[in-house]
Amino acid sequence: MREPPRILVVDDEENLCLLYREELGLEGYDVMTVASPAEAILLVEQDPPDVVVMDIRMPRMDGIEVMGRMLSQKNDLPVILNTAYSSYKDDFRSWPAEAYVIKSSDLSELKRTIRKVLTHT
Amino acid sequence: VVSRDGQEETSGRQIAELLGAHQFALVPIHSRSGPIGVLLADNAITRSPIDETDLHILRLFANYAGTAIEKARLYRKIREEKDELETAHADLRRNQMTMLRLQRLSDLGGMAARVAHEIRNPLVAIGGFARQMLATTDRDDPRYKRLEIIVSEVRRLEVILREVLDYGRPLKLSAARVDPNSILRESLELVDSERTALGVTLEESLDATCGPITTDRHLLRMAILNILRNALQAAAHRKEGDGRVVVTSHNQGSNIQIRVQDNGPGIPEEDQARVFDPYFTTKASGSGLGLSIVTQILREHRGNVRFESEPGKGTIFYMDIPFERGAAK
Repeated sequence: MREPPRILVVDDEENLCLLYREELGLEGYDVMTVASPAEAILLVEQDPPDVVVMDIRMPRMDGIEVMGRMLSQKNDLPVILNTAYSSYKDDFRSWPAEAYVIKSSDLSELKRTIRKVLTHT
Repeated sequence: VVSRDGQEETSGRQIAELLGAHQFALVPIHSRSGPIGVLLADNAITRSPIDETDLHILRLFANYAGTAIEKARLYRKIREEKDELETAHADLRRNQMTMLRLQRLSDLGGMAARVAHEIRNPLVAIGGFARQMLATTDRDDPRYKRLEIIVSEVRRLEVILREVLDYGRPLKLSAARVDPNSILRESLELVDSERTALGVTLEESLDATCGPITTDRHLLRMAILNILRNALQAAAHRKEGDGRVVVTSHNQGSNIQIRVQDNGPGIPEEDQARVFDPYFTTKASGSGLGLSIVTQILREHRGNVRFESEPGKGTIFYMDIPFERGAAK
């Protein structure tokens, strides 16, 4: 693991990327945000982060598919699905994810989950 | 003359004696589908002999009678069939209306989910940055209170969104044997601070013979909480300030019944048919899904929920939950 740990956030909303960069940066992480799924896959291929925070609903490619592509590159990459739907837990394609977090303006659950995932790996 | 069962023979003379007449005539009444009766004429009153002309008239009359009776029967049959058709038609219309209504609700649900989704991300940004600013703002700063308001309003919206987005997806029941009274007590505890804030008194009377039942503890609690919160809010509307909610449980043999009674303003008659409809609400803030979720949960339990409401006096909600959940769908 890097020090500080690197987090890759994949979300197509620029404003949310800024929020995650700032908030997770305050937690002491090295945060990278990308809006494009293709770019995210490329990044993982070249220089995998310690954990990925992935939005599920994005135009062009859904986050679960992006996760699948990433895991085929690096199968021990921890991915946290950050989603608006709690029903994604019922989709078997989302099972390889390390954790799910319901997207909320309260980032404490996301922060807690990142901490947990990082201590496990 | 032979009786219907063909066993007992009666002679013409015996019939004449029975009738108190010297003479009588029997004329069959036919319809197109076969014999339908017999016309009997005697001379008990006139005492004058029955001749050929009389018989001719009788035959004519029997003919007419046969036709008339046949027509009357046909008419009755047609009318019955018409009634049946009308009933079927009315049923069909009713079903069609229900289908239309369900279709509209499901369209509405789909649209609500899409809208909720589009609103979600901007809300995360608004609330997220407001929280960030709140964390770095001094408590004495006048902006602190305003930021707090933004954060709490966003939180409220997010709760509504979650309900909308989660609504309608199949509930997964994790069944266990649970004492319903313990869920009731748990729920009462959970609403206690709300109850105090609303200034409503709460009474409970739980039947110890209720349970255990096969249920999903979490879901049943959600159903009870939704009804309980509605009752508390209704009771808080009492002008006299004597709002009261009574929660009871009853063992009814094959099922338990939970009753939640409030002395609030009651549900207006024009709203009563719609209170279980998704997205129907009379509250200023709310997703309108609370009672609809209750229906869904109770249906999953093979139970049901209904209410009685008297405007000005209050409302009682009844939740029936069978002891055994029965065969799975």
